Amino acid sequence: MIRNLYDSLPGPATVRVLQMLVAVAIIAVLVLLLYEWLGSTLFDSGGTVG
Amino acid sequence: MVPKEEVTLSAIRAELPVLTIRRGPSAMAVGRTAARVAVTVAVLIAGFVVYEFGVTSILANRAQASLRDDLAATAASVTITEIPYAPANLPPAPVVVPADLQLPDPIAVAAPEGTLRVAPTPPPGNAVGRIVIPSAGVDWAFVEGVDRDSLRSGVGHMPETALPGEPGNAVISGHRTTYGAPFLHLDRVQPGDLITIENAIGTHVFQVVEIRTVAPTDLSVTGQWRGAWLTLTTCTPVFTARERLVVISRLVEGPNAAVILNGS
Repeated sequence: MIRNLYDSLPGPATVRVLQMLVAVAIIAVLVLLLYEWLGSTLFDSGGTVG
Repeated sequence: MVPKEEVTLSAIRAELPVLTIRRGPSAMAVGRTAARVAVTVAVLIAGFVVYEFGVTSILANRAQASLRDDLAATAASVTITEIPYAPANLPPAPVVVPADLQLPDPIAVAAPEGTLRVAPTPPPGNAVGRIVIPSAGVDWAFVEGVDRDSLRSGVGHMPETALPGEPGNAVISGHRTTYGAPFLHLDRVQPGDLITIENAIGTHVFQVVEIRTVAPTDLSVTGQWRGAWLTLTTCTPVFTARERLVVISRLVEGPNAAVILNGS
């Protein structure tokens, strides 16, 4: 799947690698935001009142 | 005699309707996709667990080390002022103190009678003091603020409430299971247990008088009351954010204890 995504990207290999790195960074940030939201909503909001 | 027509195999094939067999995805392809989805979900869940209970604790512990350094530096530089104590027109605390609760005699050490030691409220995110609860295994530095960023260090003081050791109700919130889980064992605290707060004003001792569970929106526990109080809040039951465990304690010892207790 990752290989298919890489092959579908335009440009030379260097540009493709850069595009993949940007995509991975964006996905990582989104996943971390999701973890933060899930954690504070489900597990532990920090105990704040109000 | 009718001439015999020559029929070839290719001619027969040409006249036959084209038959197309549409095949759905094979069972193997479906299984492969399902396996990929399952592995992806498993990796995401494992990452979530590692992040919530591992990474956040590392972040909180690093923040704690920095906060303790900040506290030491702040203690040397903060300006303490002494002001005449005038009891504010606050309502009494909605707390029933158990009759059998023995309170230590308040002692005044740093402030002359009738004066109150006060310190400026630190900016949001900055170190306020240190909280120690022996019965719950708590020994944490805490910051000003209870927003998400402030609570990444574990424990925070709710703005707009009194600072610990000053008249009113100081509210401190802390994580129960993530970011180092500083208040994980807060449910072990019993009425009569002591809580110590060290801040710029000095060392204050509070005695627990009531433990209750409230809804996360119940602001009755964050009100300002006559006397000097410390209210701790955290999530409960453990591993959920459904309700709040609230530990209410009153000042019994410290630089301002005598003047507040005698004047209120």
